[in-house]
Amino acid sequence: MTAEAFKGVPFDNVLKCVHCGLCLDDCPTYRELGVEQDSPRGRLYLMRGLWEGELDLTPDVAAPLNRCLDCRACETACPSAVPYGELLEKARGVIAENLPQSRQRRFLEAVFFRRVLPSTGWMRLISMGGWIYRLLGLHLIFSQTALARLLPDWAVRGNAMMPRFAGRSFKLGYRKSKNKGKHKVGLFTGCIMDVADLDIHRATVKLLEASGCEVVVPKEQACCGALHVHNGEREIPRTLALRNEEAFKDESLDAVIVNAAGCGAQLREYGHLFSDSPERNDERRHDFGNRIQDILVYLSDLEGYRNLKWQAKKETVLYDAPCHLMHAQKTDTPRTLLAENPAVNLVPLEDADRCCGAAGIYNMVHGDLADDILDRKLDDIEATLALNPDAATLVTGNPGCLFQIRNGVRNRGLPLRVIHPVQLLAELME
Amino acid sequence: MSFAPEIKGELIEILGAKWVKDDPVTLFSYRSDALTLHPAPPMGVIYPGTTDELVACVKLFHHNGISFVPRGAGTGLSGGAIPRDRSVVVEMFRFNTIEEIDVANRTAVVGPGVVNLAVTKAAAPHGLYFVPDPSSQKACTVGGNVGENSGGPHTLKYGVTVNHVLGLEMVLPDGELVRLGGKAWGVPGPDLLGLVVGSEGTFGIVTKVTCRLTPIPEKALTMLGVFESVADACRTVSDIIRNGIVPAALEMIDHIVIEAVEKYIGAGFPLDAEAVLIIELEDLKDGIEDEAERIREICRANNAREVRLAADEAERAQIWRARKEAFGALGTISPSFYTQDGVIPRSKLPEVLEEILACGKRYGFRVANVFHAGDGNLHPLIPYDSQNPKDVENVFEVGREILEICLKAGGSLSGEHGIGLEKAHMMEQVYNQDDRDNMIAMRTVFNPDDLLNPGKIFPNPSRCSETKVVRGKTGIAV
Repeated sequence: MTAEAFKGVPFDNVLKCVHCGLCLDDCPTYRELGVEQDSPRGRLYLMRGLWEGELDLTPDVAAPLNRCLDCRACETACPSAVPYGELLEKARGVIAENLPQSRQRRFLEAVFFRRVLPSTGWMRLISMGGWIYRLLGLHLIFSQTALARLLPDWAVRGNAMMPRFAGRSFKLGYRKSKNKGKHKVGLFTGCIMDVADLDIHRATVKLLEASGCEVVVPKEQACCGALHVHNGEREIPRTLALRNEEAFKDESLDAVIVNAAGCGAQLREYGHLFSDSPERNDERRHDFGNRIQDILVYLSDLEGYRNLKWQAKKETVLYDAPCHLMHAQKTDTPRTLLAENPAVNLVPLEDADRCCGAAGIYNMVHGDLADDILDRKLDDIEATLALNPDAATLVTGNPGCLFQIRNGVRNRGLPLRVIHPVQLLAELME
Repeated sequence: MSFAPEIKGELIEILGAKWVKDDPVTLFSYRSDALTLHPAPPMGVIYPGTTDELVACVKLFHHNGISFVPRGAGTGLSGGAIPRDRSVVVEMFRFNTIEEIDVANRTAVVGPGVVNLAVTKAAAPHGLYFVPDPSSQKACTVGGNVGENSGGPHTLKYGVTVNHVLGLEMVLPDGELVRLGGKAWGVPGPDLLGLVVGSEGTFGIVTKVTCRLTPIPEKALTMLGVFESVADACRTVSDIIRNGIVPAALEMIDHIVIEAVEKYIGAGFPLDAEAVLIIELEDLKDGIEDEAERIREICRANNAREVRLAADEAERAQIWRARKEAFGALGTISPSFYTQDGVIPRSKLPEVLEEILACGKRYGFRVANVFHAGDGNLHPLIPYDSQNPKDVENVFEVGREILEICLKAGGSLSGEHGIGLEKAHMMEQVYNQDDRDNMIAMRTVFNPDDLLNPGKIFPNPSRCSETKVVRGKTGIAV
């Protein structure tokens, strides 16, 4: 028996959970809250209850499901290979469709998800606004004066976490690669990252070109849709998926390079997104997913990269593994690539593969819980720094984590810069 | 259904509103532990944070005749944490601090909510570890280990939880706080500590555990023996012990399980083998190689096709991961499994395994085996379809018959998962009325009104004597 709301949503994989509980201690929200329904096992039990029609879809059932970070550490811990992320995202789709949503959530959907993120024009505009805002020092007014008390919590958090907006779009300003290299690759630039912290894309291009690649940046590409999917949106991200597939359809591309772990995971999993939309679920989703490569993973296989020369002086570095590389894309290659670099002295960070609490826009929607989760991360960082006083850099390959940890490190006053691994590698190149 | 208003009010006064839950989602979520075939919702769930809070809550329950049951991570396989008679679940998650690692006395004082593996992690920098290593050790709690007297692969050489706990602090069902044992060895008089460890949460709620820590062995070797027949592997087990060698662990995995773990983990087990033995030696560096050589000879004498020695730490870790996650990996070949836990004298292994397979076959099940061969602790796994009511019924029948086979062979009902809810109705096949009455009298000393974890170990005579299968649709079964 399947509940009405789940009609047409393939959900049989929820039966793979044998309720053993081996995921519990790997779940950041369970570790924080200690409540069964806030553990992966508990959430799967609720999802199964909803799917089988034993539970009614109420806000109380939806709450723990919405409180999940979708970090997917439980997938790594799970001995039964339950595809937790896919199930959660589908369940959130069903929730969003069948439960009345809060005002905040309706605003997010109508403005942020539907209008802003998919539109390069809007993103540029916001970026310009953000750039002027910072230029005028307005962010300091809100963060350092009592004015902050007038703003809603999510706005204060957004202000603190704000990336370095550039006022322009990377993909629109990109000139053709100087290189006519051995490999031709496409670069995925994202939505926010297309207009902020552009050093990351620059460093990515620099590394690729130095390793003998020709880099193309299609202007028609769009947001990956990860923020949408994590928040239960299904239809808008499907249109984004089709746009991106179209933008990167050039078959001479060796790979589509992504330098944001969350986007990479989403682009690889467009198949999941269409699995409950049968009419458009075809092989193309799968083929596209297979062409997506994280920048560091791609470099690790590239002969040109292996031949690069590095500076003689070693830099001591901490590495934080983004969940959507480690647990969603299931690769630890970025860490080993850094560890093998002769110019890097990589210091192990305790629980480096645990979520930092950023999780897309989770840190703005569930601020307090995200703070607690971030605190654990900062405690680990502080303990590692105490043992390795010469470490001055932490790298992490996902923008959300980057802003979250950067903000936390700043608030605690730790002597650490937080950058993307490609920025570090670009610096260390001879 | 949920808490009576005045009880809830008092609980909130003691714990704060955040830590008292009786909403429908909570009741649904706490209706089972890792044994999912007998779901029963609690009256509510409380999350005490200190011993004082716990004592106050227990006194409240005692005065009002409300039954209650402690719960750790809920990884137990015999239903020890399932609330019978609408008991209140006392979630011990917040007792999760490691208070002290005492290197000179080789002890750790921990809260019952501390995860088993966390104790070893905290002790490792001092060259020490906590021996009990159940397969769920990365999630299960020390409190749960004490309750169930948990074992694990390394039980063979080092003993079970009771051999690694020196002291306990616990709250009796009337709210009295007592201490048993301490940091020192040996307590005069009857061994109450030994009695409490393994009482499955029916004697008291443990609030502090003094764990015995053991030096990490100087050298460990992990070997893999590959066999063409299960009987050969079984005979090897007996021969190793007969030759005076006590490996740290001696585990058997049959070909169904090999198939599953290879699919999921890929530890390099040969897919065409009928059985593999994981043999781990732990000792001083000197002499361990000789012992390994003797084991190699014994394996060969029993027709082993191949005997492999793990080359490095990574390979060792991979073999153990395959073993420890085998139960879960079976999920890749069948969605539902019923795990049994019986013990037999190890010399009977070949015949008993054959009988078990035949018994499964009679009902159309292909029983898989992955178990602690060294101490004769079997874990037959029966794959079934939880959507098929006939299968669900049969799987119980097979589980029961398997235990009867074990008993007939001179064995016992449980090696390490406990009796819990699952096997309470079978105790009469092991003990006569006098024995059972005496054991219940013993429980009465600690738990006179049977308010703490009722219906466990012994069926509750005043209520329903037989554990009936109440399978909700979401009765996922392991």
